[in-house]
Amino acid sequence: MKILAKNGDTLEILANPEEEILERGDYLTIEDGGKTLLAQVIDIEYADVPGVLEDALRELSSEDFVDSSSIDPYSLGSVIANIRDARLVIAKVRGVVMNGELRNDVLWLPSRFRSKISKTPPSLIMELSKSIGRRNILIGECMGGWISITAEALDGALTIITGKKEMGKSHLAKMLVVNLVEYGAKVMVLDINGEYVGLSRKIDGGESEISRKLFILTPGENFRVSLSETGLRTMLDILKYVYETPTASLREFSRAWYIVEKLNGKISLRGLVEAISKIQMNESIRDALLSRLQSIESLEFFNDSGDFSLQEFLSKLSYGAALIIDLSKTSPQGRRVVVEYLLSKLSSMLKDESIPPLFLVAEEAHLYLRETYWDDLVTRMRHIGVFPIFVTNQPDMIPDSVYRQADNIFIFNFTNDSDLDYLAKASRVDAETVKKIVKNLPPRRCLVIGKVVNDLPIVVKTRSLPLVTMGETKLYFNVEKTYLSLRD
Amino acid sequence: MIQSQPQLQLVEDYFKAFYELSRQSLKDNIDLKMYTIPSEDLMIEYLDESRTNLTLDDYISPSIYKVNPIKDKKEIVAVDTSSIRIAESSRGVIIAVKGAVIHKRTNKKIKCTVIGPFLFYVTKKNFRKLLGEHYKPIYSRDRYEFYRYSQKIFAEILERKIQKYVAEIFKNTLILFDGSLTVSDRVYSPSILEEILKKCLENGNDVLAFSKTTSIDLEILIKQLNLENFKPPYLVDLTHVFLRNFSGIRLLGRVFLAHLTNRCPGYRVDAPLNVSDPSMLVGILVGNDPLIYGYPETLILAHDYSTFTKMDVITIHTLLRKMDIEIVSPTSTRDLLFNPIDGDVV
Repeated sequence: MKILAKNGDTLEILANPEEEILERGDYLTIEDGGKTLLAQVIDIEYADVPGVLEDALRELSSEDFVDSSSIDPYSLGSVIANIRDARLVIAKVRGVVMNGELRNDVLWLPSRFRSKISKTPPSLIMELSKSIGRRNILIGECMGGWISITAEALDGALTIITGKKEMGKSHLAKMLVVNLVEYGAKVMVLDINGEYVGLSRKIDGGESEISRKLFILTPGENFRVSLSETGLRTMLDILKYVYETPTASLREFSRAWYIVEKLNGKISLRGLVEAISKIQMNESIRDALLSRLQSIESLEFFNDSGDFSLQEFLSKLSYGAALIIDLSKTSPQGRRVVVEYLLSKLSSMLKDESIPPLFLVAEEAHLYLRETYWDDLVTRMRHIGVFPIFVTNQPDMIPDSVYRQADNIFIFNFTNDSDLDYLAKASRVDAETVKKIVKNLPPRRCLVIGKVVNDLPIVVKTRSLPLVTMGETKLYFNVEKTYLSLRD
Repeated sequence: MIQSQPQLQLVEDYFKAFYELSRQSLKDNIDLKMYTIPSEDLMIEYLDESRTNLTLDDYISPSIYKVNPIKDKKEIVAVDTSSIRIAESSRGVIIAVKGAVIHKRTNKKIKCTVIGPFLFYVTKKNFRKLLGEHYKPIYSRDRYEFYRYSQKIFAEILERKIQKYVAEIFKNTLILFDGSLTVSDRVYSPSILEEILKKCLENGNDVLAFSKTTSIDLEILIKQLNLENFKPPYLVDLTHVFLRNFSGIRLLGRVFLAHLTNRCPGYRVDAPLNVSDPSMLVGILVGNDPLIYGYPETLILAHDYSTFTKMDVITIHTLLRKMDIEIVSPTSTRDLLFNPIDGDVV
């Protein structure tokens, strides 16, 4: 391979068609005089070889009726074939490796003719992408070598996992959850499809190592809370954001809350309904509040006799635990109520320092997080100790500002140009890298950007987990096959 | 009649000695640093190619033959070669020659055989050794003239070898040569063309030679000979005109102006002396081979396949580099020394 040109941070490298196969995202080291330039392959094209158009046209026009052979004493034909098919490797300069460190501030270019270009050894990629920390999480392979990130790089950070469906987002999220739990972290998962439940089992049916550290709460079943545990502020948030209750109605609700507390000494849903029915207020406000409370009651999430305390539950969790909130059986509105409750409670508990910081994995977050929460989570809550990992297949549903603050982004395949444009604008690497690499990623491969890879974008083939990940789409014909075999 | 194809191995064997000569020349104390030939120089040479201009005397009245396309199926074989100077130094020049044989069967299927390229390193010292029995002393004013002459000679050697090969291997075909059936003392071994034509005759092959480098002003000719009423295709016999115009040449055939299609130039076509009815021969050609701008398609293909492409030149440079010969562009040194720092070539 030979360097042909450099435009901005893009290198054009001429390559022989018989060179080792390169993949998008692979790294090349260009060595010259003891220094090394690191460049990442983003595309491969045909080189603009002189006269190739004439040659191609001539062959095209005669291929149907001309049978050709040649007496080629110097075997130039094979050389010509190689030259005609010469490749142009498009690569992005990532920096100069000096004393084992990748430097972006050093202006140095290797010789176009003397430099030696080769595939970067995986050990160098591993070394340069290593983030600070000692808790390694083996996430997969890159250029034939294993790639680990550190749990510390996820700590205190905002992480986004995105890509179109069935590309392996949830698989990666589960891998992170399992490893964080193994390293002693507390992780709360908003599990919209009920697929994290399987992490307690190995593929062979045995119990997994983290099965005893996995706690599943299903709203309306083993996760029901009292209004007193919820508190007025959280209830007002639920009414305001989930049920879009006007301010005048909220004021009346607060009045009713205090009356019930004063009269009954304890707040209950039934007491609230009675109070609102009896106390003097505008009839339309009364109707509005009563219909909302009936809707809340029907969710069976709030329970007057319930004694579940999230704070107690979280405090009791030992070293390393995953709290799975199984939202798969909850209605869309119910999901929003539960999430509103959880975030509101977490926020107040962390502010009081009554619980330690935790990771929050939000699967399909765009389906239940209200817009204002995005900013809140990534700015305020992050500082008090909620470290979100958002998983979404709709990148445009997450505001720009969130991407700009993201510390780590794992991008799986996207083919839709508008999604790619959005990601290209928002992510931490140049738009061309995102567009060229992401569009062609096969399933289970992702472009990793950010702190976790020491800001060296790498393409990782995620490893498999020996656990039941249950993220696969249920298919009709598989079900039909099972049904038929059962019938036989 | 469907002609059986010559085997590739047979063709290879035929050119083995020529290849051996080429290989020997490259071992011949070759310069390790040589300069490419600037494309401007090659262009000038192309423009300077010898062109023959004819003048008609009033008292000569050439015969005109109407050509009727003859649909009887006949195989056509066309031969063309090309040459290029790849690199040169103060001592010698590297020449590449290449040829092509196009064989169009009666079922219109075309077989193309590219022969070469063969590379020769030619110096004034090894020139005689390389040419052997065909050597003739030449006078050249400077080394560039010598290099250009060497290029011509090696191209002609290959061309005659290929012509001889097709004359021997094919039977009952119409063979098209590029050039003419004229010989002079200046060209290498004039007797070879005679041998080739003899072999063609023996094997039942007819021959027509098309020349691109003889320009005949068709408009003047049409006016002078009152050809306005003649619709192409037709032939005008210019043999006597040629004999009057040029001395020191020997014609091995009759010379015609072939005006084969409307709005296209006329070309010089030579037919061997033994051909009794040249218009019939051209009729067979017109009936069996499409004409493109009045020129036979098979000959165009032969020209096309034998021409050196940019890719060929790059590849030969690669080969020479593998032989440790450094190929340098002379302009780069000149630019470096004389051009302003940001300047284009002036």
